[in-house]
Amino acid sequence: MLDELPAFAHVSAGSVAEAVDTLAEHGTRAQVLAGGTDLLGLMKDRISGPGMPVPEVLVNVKRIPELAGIAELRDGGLRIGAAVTLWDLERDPRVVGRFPALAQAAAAVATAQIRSMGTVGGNLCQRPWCWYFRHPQFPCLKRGGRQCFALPGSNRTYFSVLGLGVCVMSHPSDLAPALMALDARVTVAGPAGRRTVPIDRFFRGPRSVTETVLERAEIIVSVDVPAPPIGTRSLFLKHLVRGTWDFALSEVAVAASPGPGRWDGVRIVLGGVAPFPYRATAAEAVLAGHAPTESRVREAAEAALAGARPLTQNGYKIDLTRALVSRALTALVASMA
Amino acid sequence: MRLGARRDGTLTAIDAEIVLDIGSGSLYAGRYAMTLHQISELYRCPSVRVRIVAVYTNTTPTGPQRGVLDPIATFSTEAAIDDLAAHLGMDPLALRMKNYAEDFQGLDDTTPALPYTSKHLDACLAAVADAIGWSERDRMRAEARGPVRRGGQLTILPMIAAEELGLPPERIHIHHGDTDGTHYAPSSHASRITSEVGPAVLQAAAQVRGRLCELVAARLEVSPLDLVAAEERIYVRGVPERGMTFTAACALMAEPEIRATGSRAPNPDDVIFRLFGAHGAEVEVDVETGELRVLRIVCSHDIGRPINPKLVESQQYGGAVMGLGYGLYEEAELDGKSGVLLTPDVHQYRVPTALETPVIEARNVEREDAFYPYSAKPVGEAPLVGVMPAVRNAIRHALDLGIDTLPITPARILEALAARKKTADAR
Repeated sequence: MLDELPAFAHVSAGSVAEAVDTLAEHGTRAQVLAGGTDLLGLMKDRISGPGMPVPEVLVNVKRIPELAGIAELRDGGLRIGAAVTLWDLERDPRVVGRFPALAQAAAAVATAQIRSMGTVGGNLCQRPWCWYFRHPQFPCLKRGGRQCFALPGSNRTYFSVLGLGVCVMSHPSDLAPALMALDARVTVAGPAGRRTVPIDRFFRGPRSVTETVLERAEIIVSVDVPAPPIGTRSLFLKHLVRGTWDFALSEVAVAASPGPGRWDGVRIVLGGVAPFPYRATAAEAVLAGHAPTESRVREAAEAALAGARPLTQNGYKIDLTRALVSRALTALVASMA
Repeated sequence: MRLGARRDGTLTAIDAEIVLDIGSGSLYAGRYAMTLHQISELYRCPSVRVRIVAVYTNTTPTGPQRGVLDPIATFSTEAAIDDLAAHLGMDPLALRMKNYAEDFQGLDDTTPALPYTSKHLDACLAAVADAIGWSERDRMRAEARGPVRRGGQLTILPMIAAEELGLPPERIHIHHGDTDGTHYAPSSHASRITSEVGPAVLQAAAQVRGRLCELVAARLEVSPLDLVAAEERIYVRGVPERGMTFTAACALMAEPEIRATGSRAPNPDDVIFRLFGAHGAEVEVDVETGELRVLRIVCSHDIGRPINPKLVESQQYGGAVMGLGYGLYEEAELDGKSGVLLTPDVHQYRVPTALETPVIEARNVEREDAFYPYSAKPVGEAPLVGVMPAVRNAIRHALDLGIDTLPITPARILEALAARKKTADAR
């Protein structure tokens, strides 16, 4: 669909306050413009609906100093500005050294060209890739319409097997599972001031037609990744149809903190298989406080997919995800040996 | 697709039924009958039936692309042959050679049996088998697992003229694609330009050379028949110093330019013109995730003598990547209720990237064929046709499982494995 970009006004905000004020002033007619790698495509394809108009005002946030750069936190963690590009994130030595899962996730996004423009904030806020949502002819629930077309229709690729609700798309962000495995916190600014949201609570559950808890005129300022307990290792695995430039059919982020002869803490987060990044708490419970033996790892992988309910065409994701969880955990054990 | 065969592998029957969804409109008209040739000419078989039904549906209109219906016809036949080989406990290559057809066998009462202008498919199969390591495959499996630059005609035609005139191709300027100044040629399709327009260019260039040789012969007081044009000179055969440069020969012209025309007659009707080839593939399948890696593609085409070997190779590389896209990654998804195309861009319609491109090796069979100018057979489309059957059959060898729904994505591999496990568990 090769439409031209519709006309829009471009406002370059110099501060968080200016961005928030401009967004508040124009309501749903305004959107945040960071890298634009998702937004501009949505605009060209005229993806819209009641309550979701094609934006006419774009508020550029790339010049806001607070959104730039990766800074040290006092506890040894990192504060990542929302406008940091995926390109910068994947190769920052502090990210690579302390949070490998995050660097791996950033490197797995799309293509080098997209990563050079796409930002952390944008990656978390991107809209889903259900082909009905992305096609102007199907007024689906997320666009203010009355039905989900994927449920009775085509649902082979970017669709969920866990946490199904009103909408059955699978959340496309590669960063989200990694950040969730690393217990990140999201700082948000809006007309009512600032707040910090643990990333576990940043994404909405299955009954919502929007993906994040951002209210009107709110923007992400930064993402804090806290210093993990000593000895923590993390890992990210993504499975695609082809070698690059594709969202996950299934992906897994794992992080574990070792104790004497066991894992004290473990986080297992699944991507591409639920409408939000999915914490496999049942799987975590199998491993937390125990030695990660082969049979426990297998049991955890089974538990991660317990309750999975496939749609008509995506049942293969259950076997696939179970295999990925098992491999990620096995690799994590090996990295700690 | 059903095959009949004797226990020793001799084919007795091929019965194909093709249902073609041609969308809301089709440019296939008149081409369906090609499938009968494409299926029946692969092997020696006394009894072949092809039924093809084209169905209009309320979806996007369709038309032929590279190979037209040959990729479908060849995929079906070659998949069935490997399945037959497995059923008989026979090596798939041996089964193919057992049913090798030297000549065109004729088609019902309308087309008699005739020889091909040349056919070296057996050499192609041998070359591919050697290149892919056919004899090792069971052990390996057991051990784990120009204006407009379009195609090749822009360089081929100057090369034909250059060859005739004894000049380097850079001194030939081809003026094409201009409806004001040029004639209409056959469209660039069906890999035809080299063999359809080539002879005409050759004739015209030969006439130009003839006229120049007359001028030079008069100046040197020799017969024009004693002259050769080569290396940018026109000189007496065997006596290179007795002659002049091409440029000097042109200076002898009284007329402002030499105009010549060439033409090409229709094909003779007592031979059959075909291009044959073979492909081999080596793959790796991860049975837990369904991930498929194509490690190598090898091919061998019976190309006559290539005018430009680099262009032949590039058709073969391009054909391999296109075949992998066709068979493994590209899927045009239609919404079942509305017929709307859900993958209208190259993002969700996954064209292969550099990361999907394996090692591709070509070992062509080069032989004379007097029916083509310079023995150059056209090789635009054939390099696509054999790729997907080879990959499908390689997957079959790896998993002992034939998967016939394209594209063969990780999802389809996992589903096929799960279905087989379910059947086995039920027993």
